[in-house]
Amino acid sequence: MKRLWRDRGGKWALLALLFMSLTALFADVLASDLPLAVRVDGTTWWLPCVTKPAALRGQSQLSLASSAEWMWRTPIHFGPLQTLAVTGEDRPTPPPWAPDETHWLGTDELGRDVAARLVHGARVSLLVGLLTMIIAVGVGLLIGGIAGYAGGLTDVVLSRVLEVMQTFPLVFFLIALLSVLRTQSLWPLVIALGLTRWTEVARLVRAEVLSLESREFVLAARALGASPARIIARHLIPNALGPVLVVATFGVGSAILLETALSFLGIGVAPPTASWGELLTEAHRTLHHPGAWWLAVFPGLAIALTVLSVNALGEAVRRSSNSAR
Amino acid sequence: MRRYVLRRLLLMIPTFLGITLLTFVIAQLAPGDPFQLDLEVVGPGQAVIDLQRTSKGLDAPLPLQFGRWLSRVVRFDFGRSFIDQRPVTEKLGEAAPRTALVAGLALVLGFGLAVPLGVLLATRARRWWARVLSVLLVAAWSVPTFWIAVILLMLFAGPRYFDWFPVQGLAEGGFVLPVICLTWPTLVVATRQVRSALEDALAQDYVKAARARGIPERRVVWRHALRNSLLPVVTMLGLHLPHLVGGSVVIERIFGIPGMGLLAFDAIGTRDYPTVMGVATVMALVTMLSMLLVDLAYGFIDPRIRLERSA
Repeated sequence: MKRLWRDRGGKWALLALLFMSLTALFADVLASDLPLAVRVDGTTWWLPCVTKPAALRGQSQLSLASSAEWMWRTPIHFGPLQTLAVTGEDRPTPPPWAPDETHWLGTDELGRDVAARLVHGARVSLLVGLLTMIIAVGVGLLIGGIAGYAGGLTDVVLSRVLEVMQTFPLVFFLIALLSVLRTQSLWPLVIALGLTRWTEVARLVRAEVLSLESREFVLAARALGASPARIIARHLIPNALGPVLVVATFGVGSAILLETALSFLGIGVAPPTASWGELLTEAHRTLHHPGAWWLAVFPGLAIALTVLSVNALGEAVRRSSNSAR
Repeated sequence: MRRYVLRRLLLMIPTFLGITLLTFVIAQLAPGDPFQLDLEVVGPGQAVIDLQRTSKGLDAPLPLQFGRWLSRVVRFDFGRSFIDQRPVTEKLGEAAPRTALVAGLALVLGFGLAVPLGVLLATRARRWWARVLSVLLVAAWSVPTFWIAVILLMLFAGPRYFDWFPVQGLAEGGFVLPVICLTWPTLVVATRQVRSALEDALAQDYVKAARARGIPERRVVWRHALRNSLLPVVTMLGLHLPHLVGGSVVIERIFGIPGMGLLAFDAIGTRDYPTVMGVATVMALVTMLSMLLVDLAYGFIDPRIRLERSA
């Protein structure tokens, strides 16, 4: 970690990712239909944007502005799902509206604030990227470790399975699997993505295990009577972890990109929930509003910056694990 | 060499079986079958549904269904589509050339441009424009293809900015934008590969030796170093094909190209099993063949491998 911080690219990547994670974590405080704090009708509410009290249901920062004694607004005054019908904004032209001082990054066709949707979409994208890779690394370590250690027939069979997974265009697999599951929530998506992304990790682990297996310390462990499971878990996998970490980091980036593609195909996270892929899909659907550039540009930039940081982090991890050897 | 080819071909059989089995299982996992989808609305009664199922062989035990299907696949007969009753082979025949055109152009353009670009970046690494270019390359790697498509459509296919290309379809130059979108990731990945392989090769002793003998730098790079660094690039070409096919699903949907990707996507949605399995089989065959070709190409590029394998 320290070595990463000293690496110039790694430092910037870590900072950028920290910023993104904090944005995702505090999405409710940054952009919400309810304010940070408000005093209305003699009661004071703290953080109604997070707690969403029933008494304030149906209210928004716009409607509260006139009735409240005082109010602390969230930095972005809108929630991700607040449509024109809710905000009741009165403008001469129908949305999408271009960026201005009310909507910093403009609104979509329904009058929803793009900035608010971006901030909340960060949650889905980062979660999908991270969780997918955790699952993929888990499965990859297991299968690659077994294939490399056991050798023989097990290795041949598992290698065939690996080849099948690599040859088969995975988008088809994902489309089929997700249309079978038919629920457009986060978990099935993450599990399906994870189950398709493990091949690279497995291939790597298998190769590493094969090269480590004949080293003295493994022979010593075996001579001392350690079980195969213990040798794999305690001796082989920790030593193979460096390259795996590199692949995993890059994998987070590609998982985020894949999520956007799946959202576009209509099998990502269900529509009203904001995700970056869904925002881009919205932009594509709104192409008939020529000149609504803000719908495509800002989500695209958010995705590109995040994936860029992840990839830069991957490069930095590669550099630092190379110099460690 | 011949023995090696034979061995490779034999090893393809279990992989092929695995892929067809995977497709079959996925198709079976889908809840319900096409007749439920269709007939529930009309309500013709269970008897009609059962009759339909029997006539399509959907009442047979699963292993038997798979066996029947496999025996027909070997004869390139994928049956008829459940949806419009046309032979799947015919539908594939219509869709495949469109995908082949777009993906093929992208592959050729991507790798064709990647070689000179990679060489430039490896040999002129210290120039300011080379640095800018390599930063741009990393940035370009992080951009979703699908975003590029939306931006391109907005700029070049709408009435607002430049109305040069049609929004949908391949006619009237409509293939230009999809080809650009698919070339993009190919070019980025391939350029990185060419550059790093060439950088490794240029650090080798034989390059030093060639320079010492007074061979012109241009010749050293293009003849000596590049030839040896093409091996990993060719490997990547084979591995890149599934990605290209996957990418074409999204691209075909955005640009409304009725190719293999769109065919598969629609077929999965309507549970048209024969079509789904037809597309997947053809795709898998193409990928496997290209991997085989890549492996064989090694032998031609690198004589060492040829010797090793025939031994």
